[in-house]
Amino acid sequence: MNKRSSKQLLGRTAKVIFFLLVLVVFLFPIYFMTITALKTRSEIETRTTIYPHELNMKNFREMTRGPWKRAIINSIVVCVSSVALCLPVSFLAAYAFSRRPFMGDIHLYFWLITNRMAPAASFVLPFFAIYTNIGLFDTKLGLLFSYTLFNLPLAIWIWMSFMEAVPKEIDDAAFLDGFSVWRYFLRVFLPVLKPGLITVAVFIWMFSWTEMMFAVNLTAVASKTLPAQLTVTVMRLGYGVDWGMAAAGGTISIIPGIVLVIFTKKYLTRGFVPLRRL
Amino acid sequence: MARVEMKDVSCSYDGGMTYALRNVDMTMEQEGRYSLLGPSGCGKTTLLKIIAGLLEYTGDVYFDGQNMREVPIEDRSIAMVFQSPVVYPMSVYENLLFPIRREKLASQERERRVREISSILELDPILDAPAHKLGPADRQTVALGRALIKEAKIILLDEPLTSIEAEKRLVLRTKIKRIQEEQHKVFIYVTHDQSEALTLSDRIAVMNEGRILQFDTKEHIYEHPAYLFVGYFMGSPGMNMLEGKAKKGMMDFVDFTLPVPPDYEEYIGRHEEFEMGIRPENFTVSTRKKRDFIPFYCMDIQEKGEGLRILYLTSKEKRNELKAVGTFPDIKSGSEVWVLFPAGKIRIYDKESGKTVL
Repeated sequence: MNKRSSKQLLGRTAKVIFFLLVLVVFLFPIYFMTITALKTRSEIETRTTIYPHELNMKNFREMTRGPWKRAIINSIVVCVSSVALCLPVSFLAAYAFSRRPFMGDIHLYFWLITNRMAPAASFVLPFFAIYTNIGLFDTKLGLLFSYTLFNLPLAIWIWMSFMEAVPKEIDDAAFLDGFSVWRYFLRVFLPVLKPGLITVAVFIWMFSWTEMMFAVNLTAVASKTLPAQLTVTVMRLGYGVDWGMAAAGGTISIIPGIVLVIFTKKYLTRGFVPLRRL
Repeated sequence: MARVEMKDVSCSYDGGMTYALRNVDMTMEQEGRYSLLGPSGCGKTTLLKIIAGLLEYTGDVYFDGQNMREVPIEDRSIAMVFQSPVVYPMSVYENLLFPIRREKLASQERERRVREISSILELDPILDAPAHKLGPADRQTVALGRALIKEAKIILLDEPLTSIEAEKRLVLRTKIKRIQEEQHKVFIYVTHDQSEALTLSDRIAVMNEGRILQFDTKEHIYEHPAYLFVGYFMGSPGMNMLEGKAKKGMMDFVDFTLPVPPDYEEYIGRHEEFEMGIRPENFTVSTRKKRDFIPFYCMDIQEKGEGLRILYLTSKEKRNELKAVGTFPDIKSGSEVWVLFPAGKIRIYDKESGKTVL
C-alpha cells in the first residue's frame, strides 16, 4: 500500500468516526426515551441503565387505551381536519393574492401575516372566554378554529412564495387554450406546485401536532390532544413524575415527524428557495 | 381572411393615472406577417394581450368586422406564444394534444395533427418526454407547437425568442419563419429587436410610449420614417439627427450649410427651426475635396461586420456629429474627409413633435 492511499484511508476512517459520534449525540436522547418507556418504574427510579434489564410493555400498552388512546385519536383528528381545512383555503387565498389584484389586497395580506406575530398566549384567554360561552370549550372543533388562526397565515405565505415562482403567462396560456379555472388548478397549477402543496401540508400538520398552549387551556378531558396529555404525566399529585408514561407518550409523539421528514425531505429542503422557473 | 381592426383602443393599468396604450387605431387587413416593434415599456405586449382578450381596455377591437368585447378568449380563434416558455406539466405529446382535445375530431385525426406539427417543429425525438423538464428552447418549441395545432386564424408571438439562449435562437427563428411561409394566417410578432422584426414580418408597427408611430411596410419605414424616433430606432446605427435653422434660403447647421432639398422648400420657407435626419449609409465620403462635399474630421472607425465600417465623424467646429456606414477602404481614423449629403435622402422633421413634415 502506498503512502497516499493509506493517508486517504486514514482520512476516511476519521470522517466515519466523526459522523458516528455526531449520530450518537443526536440519537442518544431518542434512544434513551424509547428504552425508558420499556423499563419498569423501579428500574427508572433506582438506577440509570442504558438498556432495560427487565422488559416492561405496560407503558406502551397504556397508550392503546383510556385517556392516552383518546389523546392520540384527538391529535390525529385535529391534524387531519386542520390540513383538510387550511390547505384548500390557503391555496385559494394565495392564488387571489398572487394572481388577482383587488382593492386593499396588500393590506389584507399584511394583516393576515401579523396574526402570526402575536404569541399564542395572548389569544388563549379571549378564546377561553368565548369558547366557554358558545360551547366550543373542550371540543375538537374549537381547537381546529384556534389552530386555523395560526396555520392560515403561514400556509398562505408559503403558497405565495411558491406561486410567485410560477410565471403568470402559464395562466394566460391555459385560459387561451380553454381551461376553466378549476381544470387549470387541477391539471396545471397544482401539479406545478406539488412541492409547495407538500410543504404547506407538512407545516400545517406539524404545527397542529405539536401545539400545546391552546391544547392545554382550551380542553379539559374529551378533547385533550397528545401534547396536552403529556403534561398530565408531570402533574399527577402525590404520585411524582411518571417517567415511564412520559417516555412512552413522547416516543409516540415523535413518530409522525420522523415519518413526514423521511418521505418529504426532498421537498422540504427545497422549501422556500424559489423554484426553478417552469 | 382574417382582418384585425382596432379603433381608439386605450389601456391603463392604474385606473387612468398613466396609460400603457393610448388611442390606438390600427388595421391588419389580411393574413400576413406583422410585428409590433418598440423599446421595452412601449405598450406592444399590452396591445397583443388586448387582441388576445387577456386585458381590459377601452375602445373597440374587431375581428372580421365582429366586435370582440364580449367574446371569451377561448372562442377568439387565437393562439399565443409567450416570452417565458410556457408548457403544461405533461408529456410533449399531451401538451400538443391539449388545445384540440375539445374539437370534434376522430382520434386518428387528432393524432395525425399532433404528428404533423411535431414533425414540422422536429419534436419527434422528445414527444414522450415530460415537457416541463426540457430546456427553455425546447419548451418554447412545444409552446409554438401548441399555438399552431389549434388552427387559429391569428397567431400572437410575444417576444418568443428573448428568453432562449443565443445559439438556439437562430434555429427557432428559422422554424418560425418556415411556419409563417407554410401557414396562411395572421402572425403578429412582438419584439424589441429590429432584426427579428425584419426577418419575421412584412409590415411593422413601430411603437413608443403607448402609441403607434408608424405602421407600414418595412422598406417604407426604413426609407421614410414618420418620426425621428422611428428613424433612430430602426437601423443600426440609427438615423443621424441634426438640428438645423433656415438661413438665406439655405439649411444652416452652425459650422456648415446645405441647400434645401426641393421637397422641403415650402416647409423650410415657413419654419425657422427643424430637425434633419439622414441614414448613415446614404453618405458619399471622399478623402479629397470635391464640389458640394462638406469637410468633416474622422474621429474613430469601428468594424460593423460583413466588410462594412462605421465612421464617427465630427464637423469643423465639432458642432455636429455623424455616423456613416460603408466599405470606405481608404479612410483612416484621425484624418480629414469630405462628405456628400445626397438631397434625395435628406428627411426633415418638425422640431416640436419630431414628426415628418411631408
